[in-house]
Amino acid sequence: MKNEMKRCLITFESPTMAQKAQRLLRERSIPAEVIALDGKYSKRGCKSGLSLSCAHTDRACEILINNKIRYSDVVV
Amino acid sequence: MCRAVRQSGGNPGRGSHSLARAASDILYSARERVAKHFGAESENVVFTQNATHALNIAIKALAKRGYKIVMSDMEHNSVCRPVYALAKQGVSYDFFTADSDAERVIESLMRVCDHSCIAVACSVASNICQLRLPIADIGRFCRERGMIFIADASQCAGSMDIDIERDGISILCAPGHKGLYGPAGSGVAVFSSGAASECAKFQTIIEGGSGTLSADRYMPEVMPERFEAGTVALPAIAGLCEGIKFVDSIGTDKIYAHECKLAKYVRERLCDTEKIRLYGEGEGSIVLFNVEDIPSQRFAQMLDERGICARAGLHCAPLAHAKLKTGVDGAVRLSFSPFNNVNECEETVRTIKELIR
Repeated sequence: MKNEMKRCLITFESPTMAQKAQRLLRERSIPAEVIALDGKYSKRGCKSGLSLSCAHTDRACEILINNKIRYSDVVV
Repeated sequence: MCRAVRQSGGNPGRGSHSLARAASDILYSARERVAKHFGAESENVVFTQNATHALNIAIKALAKRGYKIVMSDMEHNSVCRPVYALAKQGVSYDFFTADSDAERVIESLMRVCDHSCIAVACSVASNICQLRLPIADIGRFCRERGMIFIADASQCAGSMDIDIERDGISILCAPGHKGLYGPAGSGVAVFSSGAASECAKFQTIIEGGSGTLSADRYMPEVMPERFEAGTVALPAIAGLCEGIKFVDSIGTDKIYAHECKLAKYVRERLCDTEKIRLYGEGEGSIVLFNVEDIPSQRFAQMLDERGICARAGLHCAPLAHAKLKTGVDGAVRLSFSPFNNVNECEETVRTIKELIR
């Protein structure tokens, strides 16, 4: 599967931060969807994630870091 | 509000289904709106039921035996009672003198803030008279001493330009239903970036579902979920968002100027009226008065019978009434909004004069 088609996840402890990240990325033409994640992604229970094309992950992470938005992990 | 009820009945921050996502969108838009209005980051906006709820979150976050909280001598019960409750757990408290003059306030603060003092909690504006405290000076005082500044903006949110970072406020508490023109049942506790970064140190007063890290035994150490246990009141929050849009479309300074103009109009027409005693000094958007030989509640009832809604009594602020020496019955308060006009004020003055004739 091409990288553009593959979906990656950026995970957050806070659903609000996931929402903030989504808006920030959308403003920069990176489409992403907020989804609720199950315990598979954290032993501490549910989390929130941003689902986006793996092709955008590196740039998305850079944007989030530059804007001081803390995320937990990137799941490829 | 109707859209929030009809089209997004999901629980924000909980599920991934379309209704939950729609609800999350509405909630986050409201956070952004509140944050922008008060100069904060959106994730540092905690939605509450009202200002009292917000103040309880802020004040009780600091509960620790041996600590001291300082408040003004004109506080509303929404500040005093949480502090008095903490006093039963070994927290001490003291009062500084509320004044519009920054120098006098800082002098008073210096007298009562010792090494054990961790926070100053006070109203930005009185709910019974024209007094507005010099919050930027209080904020600077607290910042220089590493103290938390909890500002109760119940009487001025929506009619005063407040920027929590600029003004040195750690946690700003405000109701939705007053000057922000939201519905009853909405309120906010807005944290500064500094206070938010230390949120893990703050105790919570309500614990429960947060939509995240559900396997943990304790509330998450992230903003705003740490302080938002349970489902939020989305329709009320959606209404609050629209209310703030309304305020922003006019401007806080313009709203305050209009309210002050109306209050001045009424005050000037009542000040030389026999049997009427006006309280408070200077400009402001409130008129507080008593009529000789008529208890305040009785006079408010007489006004109500003539179609004028005024609140009487102690206004949940016995300290402020004691300072203004209004007496055991308190006083009658007239307050104004952008929806009032001079004609209504003239009618109010005429009615008051007729009633005491």
